[in-house]
Amino acid sequence: MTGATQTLTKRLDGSATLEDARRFATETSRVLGEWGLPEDRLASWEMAVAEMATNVARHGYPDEPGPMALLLSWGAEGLQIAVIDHGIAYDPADVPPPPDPDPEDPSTWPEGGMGIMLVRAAGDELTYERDGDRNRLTLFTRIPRPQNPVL
Amino acid sequence: MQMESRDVGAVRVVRLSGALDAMASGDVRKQLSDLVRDGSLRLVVDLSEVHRIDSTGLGALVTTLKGARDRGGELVLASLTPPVRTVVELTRLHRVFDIYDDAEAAAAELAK
Repeated sequence: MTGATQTLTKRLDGSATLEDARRFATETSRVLGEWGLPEDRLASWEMAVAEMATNVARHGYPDEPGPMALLLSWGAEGLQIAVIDHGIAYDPADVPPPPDPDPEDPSTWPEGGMGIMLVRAAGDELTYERDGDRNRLTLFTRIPRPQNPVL
Repeated sequence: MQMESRDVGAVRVVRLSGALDAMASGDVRKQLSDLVRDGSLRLVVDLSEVHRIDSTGLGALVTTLKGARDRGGELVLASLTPPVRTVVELTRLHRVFDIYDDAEAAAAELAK
């Protein structure tokens, strides 16, 4: 006999700084490891959070750092990693990927614009929502949490 | 982020330690670019102690590579940890950088 899958959640609050971007990334790896997610994918999720949060820290608030939060949840559908802020609207879908680098042509070697590529590569779907003044960038990975046995 | 450098013949080997992320990449970009500007045109960047790199860290390495090439020099990478290798391959920068298993092999190749 089995019961419904319980969703695990963890929220971290901070401000849109590079320090908190690094903290969010480190905590992501630690929390997801504790939850039992596959060890060999932790680095890519940590990387995704670093990129998502760094982007908010660098571009979200033009004047001074505002609030930034990280929401992790793992349930029956899969793993969601969301970075939430109240800065300027930013849809990563608007950012074209950098060109495929040509070893013979230094003008094609990217010095930026690789972050969203790394975020997309870490999961299955990347969704941006703007609700009022709130931005939410969510990375979803189709990795369902196993059902909990009922004792 | 820590940076140590040593000379192996005419090759400068720079070992980075820590996270090469947005907090560190500005300093790393400046210090590597200063080395190139001051005449270290054969550079090995040893990444054996770097366990996280992000897009800004990669950008710092690409900037330095371009600067070195502009002056007729070369920058290669050595001893990539698995997470760093993954990021380099995802961004397809393994097509741009020469990558060696260890710094000594890289220095020997650059010294030729």
